[in-house]
Amino acid sequence: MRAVSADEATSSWDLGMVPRPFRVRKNRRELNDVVTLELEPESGEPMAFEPGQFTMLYLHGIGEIPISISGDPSHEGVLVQTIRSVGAVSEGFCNLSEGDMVGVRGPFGRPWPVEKTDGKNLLIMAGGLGLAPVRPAVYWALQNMDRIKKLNILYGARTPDDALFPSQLLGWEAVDDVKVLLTVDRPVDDWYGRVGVVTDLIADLDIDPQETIAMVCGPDVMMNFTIQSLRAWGLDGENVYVSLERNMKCAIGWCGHCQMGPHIICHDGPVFSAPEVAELMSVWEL
Amino acid sequence: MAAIKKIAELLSAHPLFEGFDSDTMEFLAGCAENKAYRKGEYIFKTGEPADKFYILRSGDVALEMQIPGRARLTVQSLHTDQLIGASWMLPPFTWRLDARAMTNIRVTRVDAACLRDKCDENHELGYTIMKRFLPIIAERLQATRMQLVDLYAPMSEVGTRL
Ligand SMILES: Cc1cc2nc3c(=O)[nH]c(=O)nc-3n(C[C@H](O)[C@H](O)[C@H](O)COP(=O)(O)OP(=O)(O)OC[C@H]3O[C@@H](n4cnc5c(N)ncnc54)[C@H](O)[C@@H]3O)c2cc1C
Repeated sequence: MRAVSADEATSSWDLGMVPRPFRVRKNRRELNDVVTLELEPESGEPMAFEPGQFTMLYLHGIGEIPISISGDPSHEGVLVQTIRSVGAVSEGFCNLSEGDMVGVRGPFGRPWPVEKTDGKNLLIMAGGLGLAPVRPAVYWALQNMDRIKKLNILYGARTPDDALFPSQLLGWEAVDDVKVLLTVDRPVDDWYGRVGVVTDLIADLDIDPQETIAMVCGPDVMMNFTIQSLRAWGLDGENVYVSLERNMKCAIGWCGHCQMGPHIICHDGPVFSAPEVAELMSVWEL
Repeated sequence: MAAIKKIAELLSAHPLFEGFDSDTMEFLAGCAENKAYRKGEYIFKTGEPADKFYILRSGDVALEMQIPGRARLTVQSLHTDQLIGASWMLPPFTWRLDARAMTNIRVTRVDAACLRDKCDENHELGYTIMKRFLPIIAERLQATRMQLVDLYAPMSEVGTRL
């Protein structure tokens, strides 16, 4: 577990223990049970973050949950987070209105290694709500197309109506050197797109696996299956990164709530390379 | 003859037939023809004899099931360069799904009944064909299992989250 020196441990504030007050600027409904919140600090510095990092969002009197930042890292003034309502706290966040106050700690965690994509292709593979935590890496890539070769985004959703950020997906597709492919598990009647799992889309890539860095986010089973398929495609496991979003409490590596084998997810992750978590990912209920 | 040569070239460029000797390729090409289907047209329907298979050269195809009283259900879509149809390999040699063109498509259609006979005669060829087709079948089975898991279902339905 992380050792904190006396110098470092000057105050709870410095350690990221105390939530800062943020105000809801906008609550946009994305899907039936998913919203995107835009939050602004009530005072002080805007929150700078790196793609893949998360915050601890505190709803007064209800509780605190880890949520990935889904906004553009170059827009520091506003903190954007996409939340699915699954329980008391996340539901509370989904029901917030403009002007409501929340507490925010962070940003925390090891980010997506975007700098590793220099001169390489970036392959993003996401399933379901997993597109939200990788969206900052997409924003980063779109602003750094001169540094990377090609950006490929492969996305799997349950149905066409469950695809997150649909108009953005279309917009990204129109950019040179960007390819976006969407597949769904269950089509609706007027769907003429792809049907099947996200790994089916790998066959459509026209990039060299040896020259590619992949960032994968979605349910554990999807990530596991994707790692295997990417390896079969020829991508070295060292170049595949996943985001493990197991539940956590303190977010600063103290409490051990999110410990998975040797890793404290909040501190050592949530982003890991595939070999770092190969064994852990297949363990049920770890 | 020129047409057969052209088809042989097309087929040997496909990973399914990579490395096949020229006699086998010529035999396969002799059982094959290029065809086009218009958007919406059926390539085959459930229950019909499965005596062909298809290499999708361009366009998209939906594999569908008809469920009485419900809209037809696409279980998988297939795209350029993919194989359409493996039921020709297994008794009772009938299609288990409908295949419908989602766009205008072009295919190379291979007479599988004739290939089946050839495989019965020449087990080495039969084994090679099996080795090439089986991974595709296994991959599709695995994909079907993944779809069954319904990974992205809302919490209210099954209890997954992301
Ligand atoms: C690093 C990290 C980033 C995350 N990013 C996002 C995000 O961007 N958007 C988002 O909607 N959610 C995200 N989550 C998940 C989110 O934190 C949980 O959904 C939330 O904590 C649920 O709290 P609750 O009180 O609403 O529900 P609870 O009552 O705590 O839980 C409801 C149900 O969800 C299950 N559950 C809760 N959290 C998790 C989890 N982490 N993994 C698997 N099952 C869980 C519980 O077991 C329970 O069955 C992230 C989690 C982590 C650790």
